[in-house]
Amino acid sequence: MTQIAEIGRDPDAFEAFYTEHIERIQRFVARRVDDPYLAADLTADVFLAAIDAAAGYRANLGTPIGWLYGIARNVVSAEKRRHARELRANQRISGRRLLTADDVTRLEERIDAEASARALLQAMGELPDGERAALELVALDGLSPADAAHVLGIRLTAFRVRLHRARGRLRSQSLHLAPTPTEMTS
Amino acid sequence: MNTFEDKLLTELRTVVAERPVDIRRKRPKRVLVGIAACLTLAAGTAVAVPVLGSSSPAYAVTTQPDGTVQVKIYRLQEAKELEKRLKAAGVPAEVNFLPKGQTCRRTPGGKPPAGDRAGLGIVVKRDDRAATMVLHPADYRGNTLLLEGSGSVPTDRYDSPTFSLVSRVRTGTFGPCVPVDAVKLPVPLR
Repeated sequence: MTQIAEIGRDPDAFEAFYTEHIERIQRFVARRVDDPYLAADLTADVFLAAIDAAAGYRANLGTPIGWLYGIARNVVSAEKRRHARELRANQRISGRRLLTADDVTRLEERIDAEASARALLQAMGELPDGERAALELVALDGLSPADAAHVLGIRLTAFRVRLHRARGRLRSQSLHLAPTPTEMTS
Repeated sequence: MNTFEDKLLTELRTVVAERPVDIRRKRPKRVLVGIAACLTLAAGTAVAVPVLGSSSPAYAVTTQPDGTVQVKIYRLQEAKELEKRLKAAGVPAEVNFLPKGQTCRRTPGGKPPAGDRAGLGIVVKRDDRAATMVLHPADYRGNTLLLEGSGSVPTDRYDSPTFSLVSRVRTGTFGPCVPVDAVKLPVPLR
């Protein structure tokens, strides 16, 4: 496994980390945005943020994937707060400018493949924020409860309570959960 | 090969390689910026436009041996000069630099050329100093590059870039740039 601290210093260490996680991060993003160009920008942003944050990684704060998902969550939430695409002021790499027509087609396919996950997310929109975040990370992103608790910065017991409440609330609202994404089982 | 993922990896590797080991290297790095700018001038192929009150060029347009046109933008200044330079290099362009938070509204808006949705192979790279675009003049027969920058440029190597560039390629009739406040991005998720 890659030493996380190294990815901010050593391009080869970064490459190993990137190769290991790019697919997951692209899926994570595709579950949350439906524009391939924005997805490309956000994917670049997640890895840039990881490079910047690498020196602060501590193993006791969770596994690398939990850590990276925490970063990805922040990047996607920041995007939701951002005023407009044109205001992507601090962006050092413009992901969308790297896209060819073929890439766009592939990204669209990936986004289509995650359509049911996005529908589920929308259904979960009625839940209180904390509960929704808990369910999102476990049911959609396939994190272990321990990792998801780290991502949210809460204790595992508190996390389990949230998860339990979220599931109960969904059932009481008789919301139908869309088919589970395949990644969940992996 | 050479998919989005490959290109992103290449860019990110560069970011990692260029990260400062120690923030105290700030001053020497600034000197390096100056040297890089001088080298560009010394190469003779670049046309650099010095801006009043500033010793470094706002942009550079270079026709490369393979026929592509490389545009480096250091600061959002001298839009009309840049436009003329691009035209001379075979890329009809309209350049507008706007205050942060603004964008151009055009009526009519023109049409994207048929085919490539990704913008006629414009490659934009940006580092802390400049945004670099590589353009193929052959792509611009009958088309116009609409280049829109907003914000300002860092004054220091370690400032974050504070401008954004939006490039569009349009054909057909489009109106002049009317600056308006940038609209909110539609958010798919609450």
